[in-house]
Amino acid sequence: MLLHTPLLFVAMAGVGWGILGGALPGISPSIAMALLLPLTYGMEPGLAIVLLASTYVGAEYGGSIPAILINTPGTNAAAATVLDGYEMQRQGRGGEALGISLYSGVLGGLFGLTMLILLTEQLAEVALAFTPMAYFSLGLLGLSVIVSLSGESLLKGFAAALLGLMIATVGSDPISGVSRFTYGQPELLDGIAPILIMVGLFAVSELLRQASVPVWDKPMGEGARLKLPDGPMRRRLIKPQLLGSVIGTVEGVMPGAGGTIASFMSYNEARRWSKNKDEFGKGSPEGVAAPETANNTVASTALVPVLSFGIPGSNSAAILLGGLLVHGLLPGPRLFEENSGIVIGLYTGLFVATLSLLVLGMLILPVCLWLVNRPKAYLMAFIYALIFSGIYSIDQSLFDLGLVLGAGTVGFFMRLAGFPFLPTVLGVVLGYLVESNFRRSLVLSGGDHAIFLEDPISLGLLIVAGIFILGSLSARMWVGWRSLRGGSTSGLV
Amino acid sequence: MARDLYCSIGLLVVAAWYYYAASGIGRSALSDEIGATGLPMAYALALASIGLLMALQAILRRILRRAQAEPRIELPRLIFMLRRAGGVLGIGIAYLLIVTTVGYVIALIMVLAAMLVYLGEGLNVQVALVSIGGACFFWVLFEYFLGISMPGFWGL
Repeated sequence: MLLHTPLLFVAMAGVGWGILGGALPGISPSIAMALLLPLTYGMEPGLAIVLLASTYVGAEYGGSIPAILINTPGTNAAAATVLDGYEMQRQGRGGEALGISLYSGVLGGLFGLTMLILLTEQLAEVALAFTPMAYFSLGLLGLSVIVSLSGESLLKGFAAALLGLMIATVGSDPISGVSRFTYGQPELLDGIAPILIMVGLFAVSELLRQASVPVWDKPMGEGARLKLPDGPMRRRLIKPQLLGSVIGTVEGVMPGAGGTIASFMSYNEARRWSKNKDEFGKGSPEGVAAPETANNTVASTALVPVLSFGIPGSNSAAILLGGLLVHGLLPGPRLFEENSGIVIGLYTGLFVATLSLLVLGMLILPVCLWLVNRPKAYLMAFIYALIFSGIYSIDQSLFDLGLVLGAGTVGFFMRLAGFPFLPTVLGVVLGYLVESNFRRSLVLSGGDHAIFLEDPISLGLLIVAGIFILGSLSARMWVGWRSLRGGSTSGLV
Repeated sequence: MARDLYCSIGLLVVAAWYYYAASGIGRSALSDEIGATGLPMAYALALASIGLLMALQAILRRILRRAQAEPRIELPRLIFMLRRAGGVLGIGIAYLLIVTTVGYVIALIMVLAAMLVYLGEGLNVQVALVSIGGACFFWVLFEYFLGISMPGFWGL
């Protein structure tokens, strides 16, 4: 049943689209996934999830192509690959660097998938003991982790999360059914679907931003040929790949850490443990292998908190969660009990996607090079047309399209002002869970807020949330204080 | 300083509007103690507090002469970015306004052509052919392969 043609086809299509999306500067994995999300509405849920997850896998490899060939990472996680990958390209070894990236990515993906299978169901069992208080605290923990890691300012992270929670209140009240912020629009009674916010924030705002960015003028390595590593090289890469796999697993399982941190940490550790430290930064194959293994491991292990608790740790994972929710699939233990076929299908799809990277990575490289060398205007025009068509196809609603343009405008100003997106997306996704469980808990306790501290799981989660926020706050204050003393210009809280 | 100060003012305006809107939500006999307005009002107050803290932080930065710590966008550059983004948004709004009248395919041809011209490709035969071909591709993809009915001429 599992290895039937549609699943194979969908996994490979996702990888192909992901590689193309990752290879195009400005199209992150999350944008590539967000553009696909509307098209998954009519699909069988299992296939839709495989398509999105495979896109994520493909995009992580795709990001390394421009990183190596034109010194421009296609994804944030590929930034570490630039350091040695582009040096190899300058030395005429670009094909070798692409081969190492692909080979390491496949190994990292397989390792990450093994970890995903081993860890997810065990963690999901924990969720069986969750009360409404624990679910409320879990929602707060998810938001706290993302806010604490939200770039330049903790306050902006909090504001972005609150914005998401506010958007989540639009529609019918979860307890009484009273309509809120609908202004007589029947389309708003069911609330604003997270997909509209995701596509608006990630894809439309990027188009609005790109309109004032000059065209990319660097021709991208036309004629490059991919060369997989031979036996001695494969042996040399074992150590950095092991480091990348372990770091990728730890970082992927932790919400908020993500592939970028994992790839830079792996690069540093690979240099620390290498016999050829001096080669790093000058075209070291190990310097390509470690970050590429790590970010492809993260592509699988980042799904552990999503499938276990419904807490996405990255933009891409948030969109995958959106994909689960639009098909009525609730993460947690019930997902494994009631929809085990979908979970097994996802694992199989990820396995096929990772293996097909080897073939598609080679086949699709000329297409990537051709596409990236087209004028930027064509790419942007077609993405805009895809958004219009895809969003309309969800509910045949032009109102939804208006909401997406509105979300895109808000996202554009958020980009200008330095506000992160992920807390907003998470606020929209978790808003209902937070509010409904908060109020249910208080109904159970007769209005006594101490119930959140009396429930041991809830208390534990709140303590962890507090640690994340206080830890992040103290780290930023420490950096601010040091820069103040040293006259540096880095930021405050 | 200016950017974060403007942000804080924006947050305060959003918080005030949201609080005002939340206070107008009706009550229900089925409601719990917190009610439909409880959390929205709490969110508005929290956002207002963050806005005030951001303003305070921006002023503090100024006092400590650390305004240069913020990434700055010069005004002419900002106006240019807003104008360019406004054009792309305008094309999107125009699509919304005409699609039910002229239908999906023609509206999409116009969007593709407008985007290409706006982004500097110039109005030429290639742009026209790509726009027509692109719109037909999307129409075939959605109507035939995905089975989704897209808006037709005059809403048909």
